[in-house]
Amino acid sequence: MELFAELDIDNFNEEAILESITEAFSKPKVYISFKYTKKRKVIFYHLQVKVAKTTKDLLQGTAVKDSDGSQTFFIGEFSKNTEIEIKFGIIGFTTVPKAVALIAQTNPEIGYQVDPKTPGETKSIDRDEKWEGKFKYKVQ
Amino acid sequence: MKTQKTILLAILFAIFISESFAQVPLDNIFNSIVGPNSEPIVYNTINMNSFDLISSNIQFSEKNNSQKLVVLPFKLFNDQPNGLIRNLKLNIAQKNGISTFGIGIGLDNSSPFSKRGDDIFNKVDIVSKRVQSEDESDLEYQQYEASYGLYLDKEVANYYENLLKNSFQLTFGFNISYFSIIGGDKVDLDGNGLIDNEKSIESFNYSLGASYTLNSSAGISASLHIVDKLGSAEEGQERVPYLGGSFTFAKRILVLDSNYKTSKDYFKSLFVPSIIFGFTFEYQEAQKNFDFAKDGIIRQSVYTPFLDFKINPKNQFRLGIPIQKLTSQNRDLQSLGPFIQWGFSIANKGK
Repeated sequence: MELFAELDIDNFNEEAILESITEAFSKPKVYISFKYTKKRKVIFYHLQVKVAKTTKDLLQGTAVKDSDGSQTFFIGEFSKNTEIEIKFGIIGFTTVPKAVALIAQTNPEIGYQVDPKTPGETKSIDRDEKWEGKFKYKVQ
Repeated sequence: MKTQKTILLAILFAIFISESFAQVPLDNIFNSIVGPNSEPIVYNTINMNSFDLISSNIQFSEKNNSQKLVVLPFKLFNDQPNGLIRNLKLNIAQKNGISTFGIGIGLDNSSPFSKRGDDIFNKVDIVSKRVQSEDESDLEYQQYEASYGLYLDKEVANYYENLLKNSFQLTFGFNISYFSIIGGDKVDLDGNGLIDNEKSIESFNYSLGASYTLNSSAGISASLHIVDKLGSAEEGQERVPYLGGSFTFAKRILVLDSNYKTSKDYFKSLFVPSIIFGFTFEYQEAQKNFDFAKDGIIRQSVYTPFLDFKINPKNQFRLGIPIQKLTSQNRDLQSLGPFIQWGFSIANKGK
């Protein structure tokens, strides 16, 4: 997040500083979370976000290993009504009986399940099985 | 007729197990050493060295047909309990009319849920899948995705290879064996003045087993046994305490498919189509009450060279030729009795 991006260094006062912060903090932030059976071992090997024609690699070359049962990634900060496309990839190093992907944003606070799409439904991942997903999201 | 009936039951049992777990992959990692068949003759029914969710073996030979099943019930739970509880085992076996029930606890540091499993996992270093670059065609990116998928498969297989390498397993087991008749009217069918079915418990068995896996192609196993056994259910029998143990060595000697490292079975379970050569030595000696020893035998040594044929995860069997030396109070006997052993195991609940 870039703070004071709109602040004019040649002409500002206290009010301008506060306005700039309000502007920065009111921008919606988007997150993707994965919840899965604790102690099961998974690797998040792919996470990308596409905005307009630009695609960004959110893992930046290094896959993330985890076995805590929960992992959250910051997707980015976007203007309202921006359409983004998220792609993810997870591989089970052990079998994972239950897993689910959720999306969340701030300003306003929104959160719901994106994969599997039916709320409350979970997905299992076999050992050495790759779970890949893709969905579009319009920032509120 | 009896043999045919046993075989039929064995096949029905196998079909039942296969159908019940049809959705479960056969994660048969390495059962030649750490499996329930590492002591094929003297201690076969009481051996609980398996760390699979379910492992069974059915053995056919001229004199001894046996069926056994070892279950680790906590492997069915999604939330894996820690340490000893996770590896709590139950044993059910049958051999020549003697039914055996056992309970055991074990430690297995080749488990991905052990602390060692966590440590090895934390050292895994994987490059993430990159995004498609602007100057890359869809076909080129698909080719990259395919090779990246193979890279991931190999990383998973490497993780399990590293888990197996220099790992050990410990098992403490207690088994109780019953004669075929455990209740009802007391009878003296042979008219010798002694009740034939006076006793119901044939033996109490205590065992401590340890296995060391060098890598996915070789391992050794050793165990100690204390057995308190009756020679028969007849009135007037006294228990005979036995001390014994075993040692097993096995090594893969032939790979049947040289491309196994790209096969689905290998990635899923490290299964290697192969032939394994092994050797087991089992020993048992009575400590006192020699007059009551079963069939008068006070010392038993069994040398069993064997070959494991691992064709595919669902089709594995063992051929063994045990050479037995039996010592009674007044004579020695040597015997030879080939057997075939059919095994089936599921390492974990699939999903």
